[in-house]
Amino acid sequence: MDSALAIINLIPFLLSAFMAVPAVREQLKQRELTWLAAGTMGVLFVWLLTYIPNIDGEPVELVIDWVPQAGLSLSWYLDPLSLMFGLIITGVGIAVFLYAGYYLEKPKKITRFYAFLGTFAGAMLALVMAGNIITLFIAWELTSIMSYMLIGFYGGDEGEKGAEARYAASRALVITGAGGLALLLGLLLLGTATNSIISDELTNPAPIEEQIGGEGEARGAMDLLIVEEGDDHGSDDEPATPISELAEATAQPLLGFQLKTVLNDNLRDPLQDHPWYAAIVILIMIGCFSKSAQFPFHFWLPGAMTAPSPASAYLHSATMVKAGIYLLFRLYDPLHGSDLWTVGLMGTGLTTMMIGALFAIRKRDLKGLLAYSTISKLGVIVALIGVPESHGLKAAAVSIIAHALYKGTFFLLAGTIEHATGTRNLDELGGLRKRMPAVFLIAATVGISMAGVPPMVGFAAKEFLLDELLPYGEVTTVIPIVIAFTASVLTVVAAMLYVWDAFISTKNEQDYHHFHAPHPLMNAGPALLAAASVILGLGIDPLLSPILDPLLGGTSLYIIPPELNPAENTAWALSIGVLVLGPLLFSLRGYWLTGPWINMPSGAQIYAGIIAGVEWTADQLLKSQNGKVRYYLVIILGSISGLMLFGGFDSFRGLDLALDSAEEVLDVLLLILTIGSTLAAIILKQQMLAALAMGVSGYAIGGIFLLDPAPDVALVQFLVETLATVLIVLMIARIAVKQRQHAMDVLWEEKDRFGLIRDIVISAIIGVSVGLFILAAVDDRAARIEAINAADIQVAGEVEIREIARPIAVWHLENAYNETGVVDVVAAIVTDFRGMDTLLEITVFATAALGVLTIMTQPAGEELLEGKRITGVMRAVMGDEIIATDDAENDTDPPETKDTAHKKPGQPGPNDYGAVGDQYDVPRLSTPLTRTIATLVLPFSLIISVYHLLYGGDGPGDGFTAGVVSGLAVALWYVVFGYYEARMRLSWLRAGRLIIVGLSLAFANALVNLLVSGSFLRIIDIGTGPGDIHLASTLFFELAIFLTVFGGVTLIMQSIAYPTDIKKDLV
Amino acid sequence: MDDIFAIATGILFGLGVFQLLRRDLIKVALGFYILYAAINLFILAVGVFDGETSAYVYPDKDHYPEAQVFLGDDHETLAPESETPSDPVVQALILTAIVISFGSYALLLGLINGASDRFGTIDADEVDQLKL
Repeated sequence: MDSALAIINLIPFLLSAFMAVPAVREQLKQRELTWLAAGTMGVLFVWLLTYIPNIDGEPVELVIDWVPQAGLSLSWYLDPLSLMFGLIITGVGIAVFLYAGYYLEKPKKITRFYAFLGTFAGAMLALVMAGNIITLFIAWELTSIMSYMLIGFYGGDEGEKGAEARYAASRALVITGAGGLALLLGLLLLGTATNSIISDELTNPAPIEEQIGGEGEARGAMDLLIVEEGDDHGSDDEPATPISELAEATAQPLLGFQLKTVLNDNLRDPLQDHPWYAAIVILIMIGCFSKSAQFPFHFWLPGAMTAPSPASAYLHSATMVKAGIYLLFRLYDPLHGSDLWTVGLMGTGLTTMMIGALFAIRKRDLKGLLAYSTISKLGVIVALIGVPESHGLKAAAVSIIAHALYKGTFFLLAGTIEHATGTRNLDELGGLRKRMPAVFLIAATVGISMAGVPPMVGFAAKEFLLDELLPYGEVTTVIPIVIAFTASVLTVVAAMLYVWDAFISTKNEQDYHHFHAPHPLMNAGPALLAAASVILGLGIDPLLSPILDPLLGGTSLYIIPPELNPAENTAWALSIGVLVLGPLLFSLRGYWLTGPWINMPSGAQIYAGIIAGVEWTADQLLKSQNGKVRYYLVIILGSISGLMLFGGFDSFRGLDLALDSAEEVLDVLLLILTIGSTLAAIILKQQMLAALAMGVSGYAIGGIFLLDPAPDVALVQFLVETLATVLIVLMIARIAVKQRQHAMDVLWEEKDRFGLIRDIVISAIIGVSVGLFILAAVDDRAARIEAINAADIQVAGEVEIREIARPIAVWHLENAYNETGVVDVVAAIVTDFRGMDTLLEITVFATAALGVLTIMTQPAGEELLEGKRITGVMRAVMGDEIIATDDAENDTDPPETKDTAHKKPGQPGPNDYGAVGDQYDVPRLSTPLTRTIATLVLPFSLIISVYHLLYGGDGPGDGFTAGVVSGLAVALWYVVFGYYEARMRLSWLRAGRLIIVGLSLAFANALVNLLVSGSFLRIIDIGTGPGDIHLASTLFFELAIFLTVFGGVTLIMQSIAYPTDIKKDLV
Repeated sequence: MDDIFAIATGILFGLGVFQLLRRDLIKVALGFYILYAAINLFILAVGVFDGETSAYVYPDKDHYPEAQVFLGDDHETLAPESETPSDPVVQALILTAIVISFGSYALLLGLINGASDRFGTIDADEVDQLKL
């Protein structure tokens, strides 16, 4: 356990967050920002270097449990491979961060860039140091996202440049994101397979002899290497932990997602025999190939060159595109060895290598050339990882380092050239040697490394590559070596094209009118990387073996091959051939750098085609939609009905229609009343009458609840039904009579008999299937009670079985009083057992009320088209003013200018306030009698509410009831007095504040209970207080419910009653 | 009796869906309201047992002697001779559902009002531009 790993990982994110603070870019200058960022990477680099002496042994680990039940943990894992990548990320990071500050110049751009790049560096470190394959995946996706942000860095620019950046960014994200999905599936399968292997091992342990007996084959790549090289590596040689011990040692059942488990040597053989093996390998390969720009996913990388040059150098050459390679390398031990692995990796890698090399040399854009060259090199590394018997790993590891150094430098230099001359097209460049000698020196150095000339580290990479692809061992064909040789020759050509054409050749030399010499420190970053290329090349053995030895299990690193005689060392002979043929081919470029193949499609067209295909399919599918939303609903409901019908009727035993008691007769009568009034609501033409009929139906349902007996529910149902009826009557009244009449006419004079019959059939089918479903459920219920009773009889005393079969309701009945001290079990459930539900439901209710406010205060027609919002009205209704004030006058005409101007605010008079009914041609409700009643009802209803709040736990009624009772009184006020008078006289009533206080109280109650009793929302019971009031934390919760519901109802009523622009034709 | 309840709920469901398919938006809103009621009745119907008394459980015998029987030995829980309380779980679910459905009903009516303002009609087929 080493918590430093988490800190190392966190630092880049902190840097990023720091850069994102606006004050930073205002206070700090370019230089300070740059050195801060580069310095941070430097610190991380040195910090990681300190791990080198100890890396030859057990990996450094840090595990923080997150969701152990799902096998998820935040864990870090540092072994030689992670360390190698970590050093590349931070080391190249120093150069790139240093360069970026001088490249971008403006603090605003610099901070934005560093914010992205810092997050990327953090994500990349998290990826290579992840100790859990799920966290690895999360980091993987985060790097894709940051790549998207950086490719699209100039996406905000006007014109073609911005459009190109946006397209390239989204294309890269689509490709790597799609690959990421495949990877996720692959990793999940891998983890699940590992879990199943471990649990098999636990239930069915193999004899110990067998485990050790199969050692020779079961050992991983590292051990194989050790055996071959004859180099004894002490601690590495200890036998790996047997799987069974591994699982027993930690009680966690889901170790399969821990990297350490996956890498266990004993796991390799069972994993390779696992039925999912092929799927795992293919899915992971797709993920890695898309990330590492392998054929046929390669084309996003050249597009990614729209990113700023430092980002290209960092993400699209040195680090992110190597993430796929990292993962293949990482999972080499458990997955390698099969034909699928060898053929898949070598086939893809070699193809990519060839295509990349060919495309690179025809590119005249500097960064395009580098991008294809990068693709080629990534192909090389993938192919090397696929070489059987681990022969390719040494060359792969050295190639990763060498490529990061020379290609990163080249990308940075391309940025410098563009910065200085305004172009990066080779046809417009030349003779830069004289203008920028320092840049030329750096370019020449890394060019030599790229071409593979001794003593650069690039030479070692190429030498190992050629050596290891030679046909021996399991590689029996000459194809790999032929491809590698050709690609190496083309790489030499690409390096020469870059260095020669831009710096030495004077053919295209121009005056460079806008030549803008680079800041001297702009060369510091590239120089650092170039120097590393030389130093690592010269001192390859002492410098790289501390990391590569533990990684590869001991190997010989050399820069000059031990056998220099070409006859004895084929690779050396081939190297010489490369260095001869390369310049030769380059000198002939006048012949091949023309012709139609220069414009050959590169694969991006396929992507464009696929996207166009998707859009076309979507268009076709869209045609099947006729725009009548209610028939979409039919399809949804119909599908669900179909599913219900498939649900089965195991326990269906025929209909039982007998009525056993007077109560049941009454129940049936109420059901008939419900259905009858509902039918009336359908048949009645007038919407207003239909709404009233629905009210009858609702009261009948309240009666059914009462008979259940469910007094709490019945009470709320009666109250809400009343409120709902008021609501719909007011709402209907707001809709112009003309519109209502029109809708009615259209509906009832419809000549389309077919349509009517169709609708009846649809609803009948859905009604029947739902009815059958309920029948099945109800019948199952009877069967279940019988089963419980039978279980009682059969296994009397065996409590456990009954506990399983017993319904949850019984548990609630038995425990409500003991656990909460509340007599009313329903109240106990609402406020405690399912308190979370209640909490969310009042939130939803408040949101719905706010939604009504928003909708009702929206301007209509033209004003909305112009994007106006009547915020003044909204504010007024929320409670600060009574009507919209001057602020809003620009948006909406004050009400008094309308033809209904007799409703003037500020001139109180019994009938001048315009009660709701008054405005909308409904018989006037504001009579002295109603006014007196309304005035009296409000205080009474508030008293009733208080009573319900205090004694909610002891009888029917609770916070909901209280809220609706008071809300009903307020509704009455608005109906009787109209908006102005009601608002004036109820100025103390602020709906918005009620909601805010209510919800805050509810959440505070939940959190305080969490602190006091350790459980969210758990009741704190104090006991019975004066007046038999049950003192407990539920009182606060009930109060919160009351305030929220009351506020919500009041807000809805105010929104409806607000006399907005009256445009409707009053017939 | 349960079966009658089930059939009635099914009928209510059918009626609700029929209302949903009307062109008149107010009728559609009523359709939603019918469905809310039908769903609540459905939840009530699948309560695990039919109650004879309200779901109040008093700790001392004086209040409801029959409840004491229930609170006592588990074996008596569902015995026919004791007074079974009604299922409190479904009641709690319905209780909150009623209030929520009022909220969504208000929102729905608000939307219809908005549509009437914006398009000058409450005939669903004439509202053909939901995007602006």
